[in-house]
Amino acid sequence: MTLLAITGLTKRFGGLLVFDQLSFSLGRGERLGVVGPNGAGKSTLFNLISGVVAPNSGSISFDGSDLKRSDAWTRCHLGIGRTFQIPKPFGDMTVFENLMVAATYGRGLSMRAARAHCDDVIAQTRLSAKAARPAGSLMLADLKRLELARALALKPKLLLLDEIAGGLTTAECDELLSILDSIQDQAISVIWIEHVVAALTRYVTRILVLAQGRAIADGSPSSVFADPKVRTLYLGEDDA
Amino acid sequence: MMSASDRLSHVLRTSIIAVAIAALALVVMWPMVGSLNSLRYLAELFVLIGLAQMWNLLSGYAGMATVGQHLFVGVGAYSFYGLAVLAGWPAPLALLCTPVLGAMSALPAFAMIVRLRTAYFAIGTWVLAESVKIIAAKLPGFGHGLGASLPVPVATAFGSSSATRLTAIFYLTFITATGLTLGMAVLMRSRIGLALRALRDQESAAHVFGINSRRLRPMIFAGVGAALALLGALTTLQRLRISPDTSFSLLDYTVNIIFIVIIGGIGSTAGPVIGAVIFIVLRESLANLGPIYLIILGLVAIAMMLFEPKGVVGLIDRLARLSLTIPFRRPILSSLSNRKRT
Repeated sequence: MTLLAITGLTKRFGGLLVFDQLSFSLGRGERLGVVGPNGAGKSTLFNLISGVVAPNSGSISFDGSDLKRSDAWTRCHLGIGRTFQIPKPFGDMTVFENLMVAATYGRGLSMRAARAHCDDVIAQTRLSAKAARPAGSLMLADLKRLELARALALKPKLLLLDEIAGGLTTAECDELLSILDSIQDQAISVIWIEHVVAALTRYVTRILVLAQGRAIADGSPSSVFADPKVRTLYLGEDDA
Repeated sequence: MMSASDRLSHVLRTSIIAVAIAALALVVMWPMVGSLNSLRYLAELFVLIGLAQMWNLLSGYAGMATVGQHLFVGVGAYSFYGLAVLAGWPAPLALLCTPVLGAMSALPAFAMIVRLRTAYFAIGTWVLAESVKIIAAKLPGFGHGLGASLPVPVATAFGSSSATRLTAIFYLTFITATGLTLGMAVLMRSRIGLALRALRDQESAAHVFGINSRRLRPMIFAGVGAALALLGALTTLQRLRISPDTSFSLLDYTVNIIFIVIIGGIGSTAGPVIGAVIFIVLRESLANLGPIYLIILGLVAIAMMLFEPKGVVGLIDRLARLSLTIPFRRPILSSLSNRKRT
């Protein structure tokens, strides 16, 4: 069953062609990893899906509805939750209030129900000790975790993770993976953009490789990293 | 078992409620014991509190800092004059209709400046307010640049002697200021409060987390326009006249109000109340110094911004660890301590 279908997506920034007729789809409950060199348009892909920027052409359909004309908040209400590569917390609000925004406005819970739900998410993401701190005072590892927690507070159908393991120590990365594993039973689909391939392959079941505005490989992690085109891209060697 | 800090906050909360009830009783009784002059000052204080709450709502919470809030105060004054004097409506009815006209004028005003952000938004509101002031001076029937006095039947509609009139204005301004202050407290504890602060802190993230700013911002702006117009009409009842310069006064309804909110504590519901009291006390004790008093006010504001950007409320917060600023702190702390106990 398809949750997200991207067809012929094209995006230009001035003269720069970021995506050229990109197409792929994602099934319900599927975990997709997206890799590619810097500038391959990975974060732009999330901005297009979450409605932060508009495509030049092509379509994105989610859970049966066409997203073409939808605002970011409408897409959120449909069940798309995301993190930002560079954390964008509500800095003067507490960590708990950051989650409350997602639970009340994103998920549509009442204040009372949202409080109980956010208490759970805070515990699940191990942010309890920092719940009452202003989000702007957190260090990077906690900001990344807050990004994840805020997206989870939406109870999304599709979770978009933008380099949440980037810049973390091995221990912090392991903790992040164990948090991600703790949500596996919620049947949400995940797209995870990551440069830390070791972390990615421990979680996703499928990998999409983006380069020069196109998907150059798509499949299981082992088959994708065995692909000569991908090896050339990453290692600069020629298998021929 | 209660922790020491829980017990402290419980004691503080109980004493705050007790003080509030005592103050309410005192205010209700005041016209029977106080002098007419004191009624005049207190009514002015209540109007300042209302004006400061509204500036704080837009600038401190909603991230829409304006220097043009005198626009809607003036619209309120002129609407009241138009309805009560020119159209001949009963004065109480005209007073009740001014918020509607304030909200109606806020929507097109907002449409003109909706694309501006931060400093540009602030300047946009200012330019708009000054433009409307000039238009007000050209309006036929409103006395042009000189303005006009309220005719005797309108001036005496809320009381024929100055004692009854001032008492009526005292209660009307008190109800308005209390309503706006309590309304702010309720609003900021609601989901709308969360949304406004989220938009202020990180607009694009707020959109991605479900907040429709295209609906929320005009709604808040119109609400503020309505409240400011009512305060403008009440001020007209106090002063018994309208004029472009006094009804659309940048100094009285915007500059002084910014001072009040900064001194009291921006982004807090108690801040505007504390700031308004400090402002009146400073102004009255320094009045005989002449223009130097403005310089002193300015120095106090600058010192406050440098040393305690959250104003007196920030100072109190720092000293007593009692938060009048962050609505959710107590529930979080209690939920956390619950978890620790289980």
